[in-house]
Amino acid sequence: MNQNYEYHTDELLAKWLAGEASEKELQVLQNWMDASAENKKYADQFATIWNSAENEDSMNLNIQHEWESQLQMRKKSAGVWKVIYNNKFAIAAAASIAIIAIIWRSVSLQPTGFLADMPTEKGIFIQAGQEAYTTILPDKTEVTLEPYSQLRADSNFNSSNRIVHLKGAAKFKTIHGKPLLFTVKHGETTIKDIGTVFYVYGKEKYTSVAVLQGIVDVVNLKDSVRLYKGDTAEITTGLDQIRMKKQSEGSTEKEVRGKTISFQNTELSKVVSTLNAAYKVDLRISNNAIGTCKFTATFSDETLDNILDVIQETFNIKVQKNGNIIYLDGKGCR
Amino acid sequence: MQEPLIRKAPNRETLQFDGSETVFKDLFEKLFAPLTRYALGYTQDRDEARDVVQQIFFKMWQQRHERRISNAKSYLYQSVYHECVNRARHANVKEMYMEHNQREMELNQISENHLPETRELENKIRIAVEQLPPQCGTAFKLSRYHQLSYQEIAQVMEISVKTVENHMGKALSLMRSKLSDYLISLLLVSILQNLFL
Repeated sequence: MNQNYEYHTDELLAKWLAGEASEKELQVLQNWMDASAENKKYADQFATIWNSAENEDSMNLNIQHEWESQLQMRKKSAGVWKVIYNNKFAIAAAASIAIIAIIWRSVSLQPTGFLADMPTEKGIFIQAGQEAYTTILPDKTEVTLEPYSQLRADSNFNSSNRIVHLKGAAKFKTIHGKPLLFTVKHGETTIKDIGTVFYVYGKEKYTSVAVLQGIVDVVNLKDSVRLYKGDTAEITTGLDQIRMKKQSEGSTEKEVRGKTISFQNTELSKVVSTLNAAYKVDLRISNNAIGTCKFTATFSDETLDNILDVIQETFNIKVQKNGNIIYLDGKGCR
Repeated sequence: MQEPLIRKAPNRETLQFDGSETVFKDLFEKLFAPLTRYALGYTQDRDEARDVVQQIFFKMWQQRHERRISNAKSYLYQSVYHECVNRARHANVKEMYMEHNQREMELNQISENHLPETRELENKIRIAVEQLPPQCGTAFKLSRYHQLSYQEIAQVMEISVKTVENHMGKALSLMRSKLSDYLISLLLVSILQNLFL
């Protein structure tokens, strides 16, 4: 038998035995076997080896026991930090983060998330378990991941970027930092926070953002919106426009950061003018009898709703909304 | 006239992993034992082989939201292969593998004396498999013991399908050469038995 031909035949025989041979190859093999008794014997020996090699020694593994071990691994991983960095400085930082995480875990009721390595990437990878998991990132951002949600960040997080990638849902409580804004990405959507608490839900082509406190900018490929406390936005991949719902549609609540407003025996009509300018709202007095009431108070970073509550309590007046106009109504100064 | 060859129908199914617990458990139950046997060929230690496979399944579960795995079987075998190589990165993997094969052979030869005659051929073949060149042996085991397709073997070993074909043909040819005397004697016994029955 020609050596080249023999090896070709060996491959064909192996393919036949392994179930990999095509009909055409089987025909070639059949013709070869029919050609001589020696060929047939040769093929039979291959088949004998193949068939007798079928049974490998069993390792006598108890699969149920192994499955329970697998489940145990999941439980043990809950709340464990593992941050992968590629330099010594970062390892030290990671150790500090681990300590923070341990402290956090000790005060958490049911920490069931975990950080785990992604073999192909260096950086941070966080995944929540069966329950929501709260932890603190290296830039001190507090993250609460909803069950089975994932968050990852590159190894240079905190030094040259504050960008995280989210899958699932999470609440972020960030610390404002210039020039690096804390940024959450889901698909084509970018959520940049300006010192705030906000909630992001991202699933496949859909992203929604709800601002619980502060201000957030939401940007997609062709649109951008600024959200204030109570505002929400919905972004769908393929749709250019970001759908936004403002809290002000149902409430007067807005927040002014870094502002202190002080009134000292100020007439209510003057107070209203000041608030209109500060909060960019349309506040009006419906009864002149209360316009001369003197008001004294100091507000720091307070919401308009809270200020109106104080005024309402002070003068026993009513706050009524009619569209975008807010009316103060009462019989006189109490 | 000989019977025409028919296409062997191997017991193969493409196992997909969609991230669900049900499918994950099914994969675990089906593949944990064969994967551990496969890992043992590299780790030389039963407990470490089990640990490798546990870790691979655990990572697969952790990353279940990252992507769908269209062929979980080749994915798992490949992961086990990489994990084993990774663990042995400070040692000469090939040497370890050969040492393991040598130890296996010694164990098999010791136990051979106590085996019933009917298992003698199986045992001789097992020894012959372990004596194959490493790549040939791996390809043969993945095909015969683990029912992987040539395509899957190529993915696991990171070689071409054509190279898998070469390894498989060479593996069977080498074993046949090694066992030819024994196979001839078996044939003679079979002929004699047929004559006297």
